[in-house]
Amino acid sequence: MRPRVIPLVTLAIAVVALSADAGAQWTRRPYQHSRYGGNYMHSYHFPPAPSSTPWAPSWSPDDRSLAVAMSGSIWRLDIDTGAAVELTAGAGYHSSPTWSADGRWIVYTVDAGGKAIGLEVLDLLTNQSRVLDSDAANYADPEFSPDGTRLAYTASLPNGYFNVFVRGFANGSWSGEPVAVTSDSTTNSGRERPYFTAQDMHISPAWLPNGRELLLVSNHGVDRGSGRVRRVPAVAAGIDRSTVVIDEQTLYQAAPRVSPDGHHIARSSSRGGTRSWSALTLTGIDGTAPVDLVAGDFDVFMPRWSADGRRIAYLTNASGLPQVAIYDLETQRVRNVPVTSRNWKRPAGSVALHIIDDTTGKPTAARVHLTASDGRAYAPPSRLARVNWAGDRVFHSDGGEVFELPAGPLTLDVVKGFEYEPARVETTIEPGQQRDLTVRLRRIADLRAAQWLSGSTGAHMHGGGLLRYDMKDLLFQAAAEDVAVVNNALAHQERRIADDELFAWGSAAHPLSTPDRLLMLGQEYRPPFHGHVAVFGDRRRLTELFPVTIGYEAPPPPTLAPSNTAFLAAAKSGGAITSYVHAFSGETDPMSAGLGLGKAFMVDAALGLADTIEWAAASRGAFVPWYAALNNGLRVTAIGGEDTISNLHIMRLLGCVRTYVHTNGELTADAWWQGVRRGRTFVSTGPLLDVRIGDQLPGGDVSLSAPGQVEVRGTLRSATPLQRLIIVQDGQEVAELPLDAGRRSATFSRVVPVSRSGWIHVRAEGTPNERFPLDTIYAQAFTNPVWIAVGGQPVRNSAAADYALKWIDMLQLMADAWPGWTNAAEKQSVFGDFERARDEYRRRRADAVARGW
Amino acid sequence: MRWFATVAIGCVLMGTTGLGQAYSQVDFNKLSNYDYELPDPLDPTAKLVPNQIPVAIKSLNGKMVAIEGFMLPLDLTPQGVSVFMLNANLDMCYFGAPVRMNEWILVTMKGGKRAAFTHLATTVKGRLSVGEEIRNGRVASVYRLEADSAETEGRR
Repeated sequence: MRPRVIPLVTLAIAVVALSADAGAQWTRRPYQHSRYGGNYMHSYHFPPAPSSTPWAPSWSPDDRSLAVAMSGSIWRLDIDTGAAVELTAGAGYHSSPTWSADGRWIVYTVDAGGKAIGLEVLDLLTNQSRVLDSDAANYADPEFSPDGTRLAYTASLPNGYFNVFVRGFANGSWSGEPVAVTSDSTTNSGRERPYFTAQDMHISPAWLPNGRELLLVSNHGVDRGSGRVRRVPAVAAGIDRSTVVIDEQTLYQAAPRVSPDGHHIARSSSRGGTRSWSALTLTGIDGTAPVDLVAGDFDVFMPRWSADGRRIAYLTNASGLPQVAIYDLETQRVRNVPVTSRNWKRPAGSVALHIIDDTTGKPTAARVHLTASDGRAYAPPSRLARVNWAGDRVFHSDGGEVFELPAGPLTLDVVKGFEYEPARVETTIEPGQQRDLTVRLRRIADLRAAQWLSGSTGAHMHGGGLLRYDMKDLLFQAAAEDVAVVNNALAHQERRIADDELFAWGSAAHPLSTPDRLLMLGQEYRPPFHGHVAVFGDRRRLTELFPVTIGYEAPPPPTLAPSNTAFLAAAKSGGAITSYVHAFSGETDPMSAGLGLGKAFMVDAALGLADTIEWAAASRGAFVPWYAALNNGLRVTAIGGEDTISNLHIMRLLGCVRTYVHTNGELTADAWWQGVRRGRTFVSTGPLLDVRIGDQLPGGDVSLSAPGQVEVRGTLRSATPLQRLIIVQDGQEVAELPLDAGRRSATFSRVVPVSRSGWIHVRAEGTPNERFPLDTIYAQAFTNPVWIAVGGQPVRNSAAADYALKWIDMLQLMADAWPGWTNAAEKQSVFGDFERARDEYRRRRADAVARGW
Repeated sequence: MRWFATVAIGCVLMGTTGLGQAYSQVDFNKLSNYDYELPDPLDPTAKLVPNQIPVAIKSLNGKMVAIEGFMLPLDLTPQGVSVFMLNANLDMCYFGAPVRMNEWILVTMKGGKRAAFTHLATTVKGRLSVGEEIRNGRVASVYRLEADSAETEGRR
C-alpha cells in the first residue's frame, strides 16, 4: 500500500494558526457544521446571502416564469416582462428554489446568517412557508424529482462532509426518511487531496427524466481535485454503482442539468480551469461531443432546462452582476431577462441615500452596512452584496443610491476607510414612500496631507468565483474603502494564471489609475511548503520568471525544489521588490505552529532576498520572527495587504489590512515602491500612526556617537477604541503610552534610552469586541522600525541569531521528511540555500558574541 | 485500509503493544462528530456554551487510545518531535475548511521521548484527556494525549 501523504500545502488565508495555544487563537468559522468547505467553497457553492440580483433560476412548470433568489427572498420572475413578485419573506436569506411539477410547491434554502443553511417549502396556494429542515447542518441544491414526489439535495450530514440525499415529499412535508445516495468515504487512492480533503465530496444532484437516476458532482474515486459529473442510481449507496459521464475538474460550478428528453446535459464549464471564463456547455447524455452554446469573456452558470426542453435559463455576468438570460435552442439566440420591477410581498418603501464628504461637500464612495426592519441586509440591485471576514453584510456605494427595501426601522452604518468617522443613521422607511437620507462623513485624520498614502499590497481581483470583477471595480472598491494604491497580485489559479492578460501593463501604473487612485499589477508565486511570495516591479511574467506550479491535479506531491530562494533571486535580478505574503497569523510564535505559512522566511531574510513581510490580518504572533530578523540587523520592511479575492462574495474587504507609505506626497508607482524600499511604512487594520523617532520616519536611521537617548513622538487616531499604545525597542516593550479619553487618539512624546545599536517602533492595538466596523479580528497598527546606530556598530543579537538558526533547523527537518523529493541532488541544492542562511546567522551571532551581546 | 476509511462506529478494541498495554481504536470522525462552538470573538456578549462534549466522548477521558492523524510539529529537533498537534486534516484553507476545535489533539510524548516527524499519516497511542483546557480565558484545547508511541505506517 502507498503511504498516505499530506503535502502541507501552504495556502493563503490561514484562518486558524495551530499551536500549543491554538484554541486560544481568535477564530471565526462560518457554516460551522461543514467540515468540507473553506473560503472557496463557501463562495463557489453556497448561494450568496443575500444576492442583490437574481440567483439560482428554476422554471415554473408552465415555462412562463422563473423562481429566483434575490434580496434574501424567493421571487417569481416573469420571463417576458421582467416583473418580479416576492414569494417569500421571513428570517434568514432564501435561495436555491426548486419548483414542483404540479406548480404548487417551491422548496428553497434558508441561510441563517452564515451559521447554518436549512430547507423550507412554500405553498403557493396559501403563500405560507414551513420549515423542512432546520438544524445545525448545511443544506444545499434542493431539486424536485420530475414527478414531484421526491427531493434530491446536498447536506453536510452525518459528519460534516457533503453527501447527496433523496427523500420523499408529499403535501408540503417530508414523507419517509432520507435515503443516502452517497456517504462519507475516502475513495482516492490513499493520499490526501491537496486543496481538498481526503473525504469525498458529493454535491449538485440533478434528476434524469426517468426519476430513477441522478447526475451529481463528486470526487469519488478521484485522486485530485473537486470532482467529476457522475450518473448515479437514486437509491441508497447509489454512488457505488455510479459511472463518470464528464471527466473534468468541476470546481463546484458545473451544476449539470439533464434535458427533459434525457438526451443532453447542460453545464457550466471552464474546461477544468484551463479557461478564464465558464461557458454554457452542452454534451450528449454520455458526456460526449461538448459544444459551447454561450461563451465569451464572462461566466455562464446555473443552467436550467425549461419543461418543454426548448430553452435553457442561466445566469450570466456579462454585464457585471449576475442576471438571468435564456438560450433558445431552436433559434440559437440569447435573450436577457432584466428585472424591471419588484412587487414586494410585504410593505416596502425605498431609500435615496446620499453620502457626502463633509470636507468637500461632494458625494463620496463608501461602504454601507444596512439592517432593515426584518433584520436582514439589503443592497441596491446595481451593487454587489458582500459578506466580509467579520461576517458583516455590506455593499459599496459611489455615494448615491436609490433602492427598495422593506418598510419599518432601518439602520445604516456608513464607513469610508480608516480616516473618516463611521456614521450610524437610524430612520424609518414608510410603506410606498421614499426616504431621502443624507449621510455626511467627517474626517478624523488626513494622512495624505501628511504625505502618507494607503495601499493594499496583496489584492487578487479574480479567484475563480462566479462574480465578475474588473480593474474598474477594483478602483471603485478602493475609492469606497479610501485606499489610494491597489496592487492586484496575479497568481496561478486552477490551470491558469488568473487575469494574466492584464500583465500586458507590467507592473507600471494601470491606465485606469486616476490622480487619486493608483492601480498596479504584481505577481504572487505559490509553491507548496516554503511559503507564498510576491514580486513587485518585475516586467517578466511569472511563467517567464520561473517554472510555476499550477493546477490541482499535478502528480502528488510536488518536489520542494527549487526553493523560494531561487525564485526570489531571479526576481531581484530583474529589479523586483520581494515579499513573503500572508506569512504568519495568530497570536503565538509561528515556531510553535509548524513555522506558519512563511516557512522559509528566515532563510530568505538572511540572504537579503525578502525585502518585505506582509501582514494579511492582525497578528501578534507574526512579530516574533520579524523581530528576530530585525534583531539580526536584517532590514525587512513590514507591509499590509489583506489578500482579498474580490470576486468572491464571502471575503475580507480590500484594504482591511493596508500599508501606509510615506511618499513625499507623490502618487506614482515609483514613489510608492521607493517608499517601501526605504521602509517608510506602517501597517494598519484601522489605527493611524504618524510617528517620528529621533526625528526620523519609519525606515530611517538615527546615529548616536555613544549610548544616549532618542525621542519617540507622534500622533495616533482611530475610528475604534484601542486598548494599548506601546513603544517596542529591540523586540521588548519599553513603554506604554497613555491614550486620550475615549481611547481613540493620543499625542505623545517619550524619551527612550539607547545603550547599543538597535531599532524602535510603535504599536497600537484594540480588542475583538471593539473592532466594528473594521473588517478585522482586532484593530492593530504598527510602524516599520527606525534604526539606531550607536558608535557606528551594527545591530546584532545572539539570541535572535539562535532563534533563526533553530528556525532553519526545524525547517530543514520538516523539509527532509517531505516525500516529494525526486532525487538527492535537488534536496542538496535546497538545503544548500538553507545552509547559506545559517552561515549568515552564524556570522552575525559570532559578531554579537564578540561584542558581548 | 484507507485513512479514515469508514465512519467510526464506536470504539474497537485493538490488540496489545509489546508492553502489554491495550489501546482502543478511535478516529477523528468519532471525536469530531458533534458541533463544538467557540464563542464568537467579535460578539462581546458571546459565552462559551457549557457541556458541548457528548457523554460518549467524555467517557474516553483517561482511556488508552490509538488514533491516526497528521503531525504539525511544535517542538522539532533532529531527535524528533516531542509535542505536536495531531490533526484530522491539514490546512485546506481554500477548498477545505479550517480545522475545528474537536478535530485535533495536542500530543505530548511521554517521558521526554521523541517521535520521528513525518508528513505521512501517523498513529499515536497513549492516554487521552477529554475536556476544555482554558488559557487566558479561552479554550486552548479540547483533547490532549500523553503518547506512548507515534508511528507511521511505512516505518513500522
